Amino acid sequence: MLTGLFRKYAGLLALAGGVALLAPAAQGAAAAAYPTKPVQIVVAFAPGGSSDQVSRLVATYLTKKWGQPVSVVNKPGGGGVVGTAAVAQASPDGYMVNNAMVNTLAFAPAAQSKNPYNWDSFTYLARVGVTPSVLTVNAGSPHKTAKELIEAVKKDPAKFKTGVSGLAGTGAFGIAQILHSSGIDPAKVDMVSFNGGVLVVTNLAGAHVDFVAQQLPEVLEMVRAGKLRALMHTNPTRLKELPDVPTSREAGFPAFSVMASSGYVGPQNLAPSVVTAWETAIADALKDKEFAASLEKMGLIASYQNAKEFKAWTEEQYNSAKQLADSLGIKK
Amino acid sequence: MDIIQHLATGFSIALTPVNILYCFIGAFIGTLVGVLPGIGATVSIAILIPLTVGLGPTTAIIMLAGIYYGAMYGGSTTAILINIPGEAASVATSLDGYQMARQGRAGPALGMSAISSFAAGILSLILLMTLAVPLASYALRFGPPEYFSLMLLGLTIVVSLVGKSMAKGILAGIFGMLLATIGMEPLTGQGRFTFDNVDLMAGIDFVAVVVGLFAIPEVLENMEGPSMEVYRAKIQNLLPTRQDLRQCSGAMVRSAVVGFFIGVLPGSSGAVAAFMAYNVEKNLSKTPERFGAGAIEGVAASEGANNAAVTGAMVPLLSLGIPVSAPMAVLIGAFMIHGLRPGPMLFDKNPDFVWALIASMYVGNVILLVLNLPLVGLWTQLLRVPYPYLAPGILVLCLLGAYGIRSSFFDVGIAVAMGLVGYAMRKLDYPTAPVVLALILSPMLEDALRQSLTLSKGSLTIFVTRPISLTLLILAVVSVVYALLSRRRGRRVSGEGV
Amino acid sequence: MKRADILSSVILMGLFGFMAWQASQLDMVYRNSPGAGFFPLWLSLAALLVSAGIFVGALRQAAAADRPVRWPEGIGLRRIAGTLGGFLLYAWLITLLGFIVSTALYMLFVARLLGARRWLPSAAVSVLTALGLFLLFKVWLKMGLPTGGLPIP
Repeated sequence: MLTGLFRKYAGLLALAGGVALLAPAAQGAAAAAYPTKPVQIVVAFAPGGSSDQVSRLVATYLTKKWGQPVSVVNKPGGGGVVGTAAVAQASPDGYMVNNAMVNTLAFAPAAQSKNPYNWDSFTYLARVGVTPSVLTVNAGSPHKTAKELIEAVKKDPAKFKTGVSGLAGTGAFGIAQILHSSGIDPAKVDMVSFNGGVLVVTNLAGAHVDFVAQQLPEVLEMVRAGKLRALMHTNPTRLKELPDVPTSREAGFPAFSVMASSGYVGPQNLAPSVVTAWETAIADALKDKEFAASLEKMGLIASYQNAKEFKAWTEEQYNSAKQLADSLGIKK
Repeated sequence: MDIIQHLATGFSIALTPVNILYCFIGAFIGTLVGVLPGIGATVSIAILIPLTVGLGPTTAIIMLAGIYYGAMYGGSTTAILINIPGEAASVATSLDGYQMARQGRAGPALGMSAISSFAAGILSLILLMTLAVPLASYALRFGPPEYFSLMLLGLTIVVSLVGKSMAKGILAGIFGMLLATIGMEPLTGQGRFTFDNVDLMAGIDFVAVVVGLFAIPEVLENMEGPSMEVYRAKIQNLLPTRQDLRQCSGAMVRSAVVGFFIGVLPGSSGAVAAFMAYNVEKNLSKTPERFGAGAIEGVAASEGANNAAVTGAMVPLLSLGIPVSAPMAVLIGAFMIHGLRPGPMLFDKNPDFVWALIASMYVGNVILLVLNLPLVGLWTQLLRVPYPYLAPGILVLCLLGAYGIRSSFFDVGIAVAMGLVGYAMRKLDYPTAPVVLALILSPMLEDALRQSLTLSKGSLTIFVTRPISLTLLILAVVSVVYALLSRRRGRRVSGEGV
Repeated sequence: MKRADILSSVILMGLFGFMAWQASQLDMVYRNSPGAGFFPLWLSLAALLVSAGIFVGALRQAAAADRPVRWPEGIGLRRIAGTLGGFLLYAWLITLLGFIVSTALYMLFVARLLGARRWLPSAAVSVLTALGLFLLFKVWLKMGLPTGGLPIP
């Protein structure tokens, strides 16, 4: 009997010993530098949009730098809200982050009362850069300047149709800024919402809508090829890629100022080491010549912000978006 | 002729040992990725990124293209063998492919799938070479009303998929459409049927439904009787016979054309192409009642179309810089990293690269055929595994596929729920294919409807005043009428009442 | 089939009626295009109509031409219940014991349930398959697999 009991306890002891031996190994693994397993960047939009393009570039760079596969996962829907909400609710281990655009972080909560997250429901990591919005028309359009277009819209707003990617996106806000400041009620112009920037631009190229205000990376190629015409953009200075296109200030529409930011956020309560890892990685990426050149070619203006700065900037955007939304009665 | 010259240059680049090697690697990984249910773009992309670092642009892109094709080839394997389509594009393949496997004809089904994919791939590449530029503007003419009509045309296929009871089939289709509405509504972000549940807000995932409706009920039904002879023991031939090939020659050509033209449209998918081609074959066949019970033309049509759609997707990519899906976006990313800019100017500025890519797609098709045909023998051996082991294996794969969607057991729960629903549907004679078809097409249908009505300020005439949309609507009506007539014909032949 | 059809169509009518009611609480119009509730409402109403049609059709069906549904019973029922119930248990078990152990256990269980006779081959196949799947998915494809409390994944 005693030998039987002893055998049982010996078994238990062995098991406990085994676990005890493995435990420090497990702890050691946790202490090893982040990341120790693949990282997912959630892009809340359909593939091909500017958010997606930037993230794929970043993912490739980070994979090289960290030695762990960093991949982009598209979770489109709800104008970016679905994917962003998914990250807000992910476990705070740092392996699922969101390539957040200002429209999902700031505009959506400002404009939609039932939004499943708020601008501060995240841990901010770092900002890569900003993209200006560009007012674009089809190359076959009779309007050659922004002033011409807006005057025509003012005369008969019901005749015009615009395309946006989500009703609370940078496109929608940009158009609201232009129309509102010109005394046109944005509600009078039909706003068609598409599932992603790519489809907005395609529909403009096919002349199914009349004008859009999408981000530079999404329209750049088509403008260069002559299928679309850029009328003005929101960058404070002229753009290297489109030197002949006036800024919104030059064109007489200083209110058109929305810029999309491309940055990374994670769920709340991420470990400070994770935040630092991202800050360092993004800062290094922007210093890398190849990376910076690719970004430029894409139309993204490198503009680094660390976690604190990024958070403060987003808060600013949220507040101004809330003001605009309230005055336009956009809030749903 | 210019094209021949370009193509020759392209081949000279594509046929270098390095490029062939990476094409092979890509095709192999793609096939593997495609075989496993639910493991689709996400995982393949996770593998891609570290591998493309450090490769030259041409090689990197050749490999990525190989992976995409490979996934299309691979998806049909599990669809045929165990009724789990590897991805949406293989659902139509499983309708007849699995029945063929049960009849001991898994070999010919797998073989025809590879051969048809190859033939359609080559044919569609020829279409790509000759029509890429004019097609780009064709793709642009598809606005929301055209997409609506296209999706409606796709939904009329449901009529062909119903079994004995038209009402039950239609109900299944509507049920699928309702499933698609669950989640966050795309325009205003309101939740539909979500009951404030966070997981439901993201919607019901397609993989969970397919796994639940196709695989699980099949496994359950097979264990009802005391003896479990699921697959006829005597496996007849390993490859399609000459007669099979002759029977399918028309299907291969037609599916290549249908698949290619549908693949060109941004936002469409291989699944839409596959179902449309399947429907065309069924409507044109003299014996449509064989479809759904093991008609090899069904497999040929579905597989040919989904492969041709991949080629079609290259058109907007190369000529407009527009990706139609996630793997295509990866390609664009790869382009950019290597300093190439896909877009209207790519053909002019970097013709060598473009033609090398096209040439490598030919090579890719050949490699895949060579890879897959010998494997047919290997795969059919899998069916010899005794069902007591095969059944749990299938269920474990179902769990992995459902869990892998977003690393959540919620999707596993959905799969199980769908499994019970699917089982009940089978017992009560409700067809399950319409649910899946509707689930794929309905979201685009609804989006297109709302966008179109916004464009037309609420007027329905927009669908008939635009020529392409009108044509598609007429085709939809024709498709329904044809399907109804062939049902009547089939009924008369078999002596049942209408 | 007649009795089953009547029962099931009544249940379906209830389901679709509920969905129609839920859908009606959402917006029907948004500016001049359909709102969030438009599609689901009409779909559920259509489904309700079709289920009612099936219900009526089932009532009117001649009893003589009826083919009853063959629900599983006896050994078939036991197998199905065991497999499904076991599957749910298996999913839960993964969170406790990890993928490899749970998968091996489940496969062994179902194999025996479905008639595999000898212990050693069954156990061997189960363990090898579990290991193989683990290698394929976790190591090679780097897919996230659910983990449990044991040191073995």
